[in-house]
Amino acid sequence: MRAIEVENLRRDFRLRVPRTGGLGPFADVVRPRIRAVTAVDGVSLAIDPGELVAFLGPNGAGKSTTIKILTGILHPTSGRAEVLGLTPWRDRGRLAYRIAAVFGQRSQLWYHLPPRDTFDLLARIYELDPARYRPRISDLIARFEIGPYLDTPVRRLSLGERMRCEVAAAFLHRPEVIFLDEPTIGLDVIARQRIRNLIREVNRDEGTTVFLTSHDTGDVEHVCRRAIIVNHGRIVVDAPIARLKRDALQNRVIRLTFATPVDDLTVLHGEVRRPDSYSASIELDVARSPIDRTIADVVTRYPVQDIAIEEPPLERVIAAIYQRSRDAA
Amino acid sequence: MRAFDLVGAGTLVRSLARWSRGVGKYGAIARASLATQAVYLGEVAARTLFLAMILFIFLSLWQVTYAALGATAIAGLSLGQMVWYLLMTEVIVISRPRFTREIDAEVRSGDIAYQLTRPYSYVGYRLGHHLGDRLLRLGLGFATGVPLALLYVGPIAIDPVAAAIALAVLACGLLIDFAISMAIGLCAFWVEDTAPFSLLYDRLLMLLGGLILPIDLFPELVARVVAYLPFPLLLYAPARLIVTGDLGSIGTMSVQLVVTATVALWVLGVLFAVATRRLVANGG
Amino acid sequence: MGRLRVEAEFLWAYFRANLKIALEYRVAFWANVFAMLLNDLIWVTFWIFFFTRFPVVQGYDVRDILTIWAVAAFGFGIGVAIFGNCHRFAPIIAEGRLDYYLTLPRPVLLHLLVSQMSVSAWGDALFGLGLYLIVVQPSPPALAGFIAVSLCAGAIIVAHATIACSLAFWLGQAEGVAGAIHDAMILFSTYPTSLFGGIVRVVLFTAVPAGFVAYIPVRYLREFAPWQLGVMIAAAAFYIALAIIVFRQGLRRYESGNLVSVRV
Repeated sequence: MRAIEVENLRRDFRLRVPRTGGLGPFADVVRPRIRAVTAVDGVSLAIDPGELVAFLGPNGAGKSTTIKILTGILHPTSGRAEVLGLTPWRDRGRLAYRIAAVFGQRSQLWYHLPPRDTFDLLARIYELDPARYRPRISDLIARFEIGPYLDTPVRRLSLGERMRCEVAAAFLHRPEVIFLDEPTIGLDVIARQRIRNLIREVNRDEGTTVFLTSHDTGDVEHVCRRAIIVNHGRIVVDAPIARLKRDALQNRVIRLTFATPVDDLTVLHGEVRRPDSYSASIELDVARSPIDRTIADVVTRYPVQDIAIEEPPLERVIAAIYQRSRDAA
Repeated sequence: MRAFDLVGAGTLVRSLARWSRGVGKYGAIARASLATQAVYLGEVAARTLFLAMILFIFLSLWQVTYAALGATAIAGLSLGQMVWYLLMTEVIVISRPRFTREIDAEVRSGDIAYQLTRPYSYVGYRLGHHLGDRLLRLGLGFATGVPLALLYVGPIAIDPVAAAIALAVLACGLLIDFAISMAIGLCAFWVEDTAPFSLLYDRLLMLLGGLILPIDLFPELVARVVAYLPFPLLLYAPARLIVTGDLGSIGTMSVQLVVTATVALWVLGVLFAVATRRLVANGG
Repeated sequence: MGRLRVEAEFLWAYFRANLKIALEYRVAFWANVFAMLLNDLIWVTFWIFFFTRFPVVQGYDVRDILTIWAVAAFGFGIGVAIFGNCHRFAPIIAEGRLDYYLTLPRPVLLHLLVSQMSVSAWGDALFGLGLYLIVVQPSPPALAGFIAVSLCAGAIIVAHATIACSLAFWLGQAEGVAGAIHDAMILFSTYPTSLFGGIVRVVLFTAVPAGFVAYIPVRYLREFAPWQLGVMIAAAAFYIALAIIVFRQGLRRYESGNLVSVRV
């Protein structure tokens, strides 16, 4: 059975468009202007248990609407969707026991109480068997390293400590699918890494399917294996992240370090950037320019000490995809 | 001649153009503030509704009471006068803005320190601001309340002279209320939270000021004690005066008003002086 | 039975957590309680003054009016202390914050209502109980009757507030309207219902059921006729059921995404 299966999902909205100026507000009451908007326009996807999927798209692309449908908060206009074999909006109660939804705006943790109290409350909410709950909590505490702050009121924790408690709380009831929204927002680099590692760890050890939404491409790159990109309510890309980077943009960046300072650098193809006189980077589109000749040429003419070939940052890949889908629309 | 006329006409046209643009600007401002007005109107509507319900309830209560006693007047007030009395006291009470809270917040945030550097009296500035606010709310309260009273019991006879004197009494009462409220607010310098004291004052004012029950109807002993307190001066005195036109006790009332106002302002002055000294000493 | 036990444990856990938070800020807790006690005391003092002057009004004496207050205060206090969100969840609906409750496996309405505790309500509860004990000095069975009938009254108040706030499902910004309806209920719950006649009295037993708080409990606590208690229990059950139905209907509207002007 798939973890998530969606077929031709569609969701239309009728939005009230307020009139501006003069007697507008009165006209709006008598006869409101309605605009039909299609937030989700025929989305189909299939996700297997244990996958780590990034769900991306610019603002207004239909991401949150799709997630609301998958978590049972919203009915679709048409189409089929199944999460763990259940229809979310029909079996929301039953599904709630088996999934977790961590949305950016609302924290699960009670602000004025220590995290331990939130965990106990969640145990009651999810009807966790006390015998199994105790060892589970200990395991999560150890894994997420939150032991020292378990009895400190949440309002006194730093953002990094709070997020770790937040994510730990989400895994308390062993959800089979977890919907995460911006889990690392506002965190420093080290805290971010920790959270990402922890999510991957739990996925590896417990097979939790992860459905991640984030504007941070670091999250996407370091946690997920697959990316589904939506725009204008449609899926634009559904591919493994590795392939995404390889195929979507044919650019490569050649980084060079020189043994002795080089003042004037000319190349056969590509765009050159000189951070300083000992280094250079050449960016070129390998579809159009032969990378082997460019490298061979540079290596013969200049005292190259070190060379590295990199793929473009994921951010640029995704931005290009957004751009392309916007041009196509 | 003609050149002058042309110039004159041109100037006239240009002035008109400038004037209409100016008006247009105000039109835009008016429309923009309409949104804030809507919120404000909502607040006014809520208060009017509350007033309507309270008046209705007490109209019913007094109707039953008057009928049970077979009386046309209780404490010198007819049924109609009783309802109008309630309207007056309610409007006065409802018109009180959250003044103490404002002062308390200003003290705690330290803003008061900046205010003291201004080239005018802080207390005077606050008084002006408060009175303006209060008068606006009073106006609104009467505008919405008077139609209600007319609806419930119809008009009553009002003696213009007594009414004018009552307004003077009210004005003095507002001054006293201002002094006490501000004094409580200034206590923020010494007390962790002034809200309980503010609440206590509010409630005492409502009860001992004769908000619903004229002081005449209090148990004897209580009425005699309350007569010496400032609370009846703020509510009972002006309301009863307008409603009955009874200038009988105006002599003692005036004396009381003057004494109370003097004492209240003096206390405020002392508190203020001590507070500013503390402010200067501790640097806010 | 298992279902009931699970929900009871859930409610108890929330109650304990809310109470813990309230007591965390001990000073504010007691200040709030004190403020409410004072407020209630002022009103009761007013009534004592009134009845000193007019000993009996339409068959009501001072004991009756104080009973009305005791029932209203105790019922309201217990009800709103436990179900603290009942009169303020209109904005939660309007701002789409209901989503949080929808993703959790507990009954949405129940979860929504118990998420908050009203601290000042404890002042009302304390006042109501204290007032009844002092004024009436009831025997244990009478006290039990008082508690029973007050809890029914409290249930009606909570259910009514819930219905008022549920209007947000249809009206969007319903905070003002809901507040006004709720305020009317509280106001009329503290005055003898027999003061009003005709259409007002009809309203007080239907749309704004303050009659069930101010009228029937007083009669019951004077006569202790079982049918009166029966009426209270039936009324409580009716309004609770109505609240659940209204909320469910609104929730269906919310899920179909028809909160059009709110969802953008």
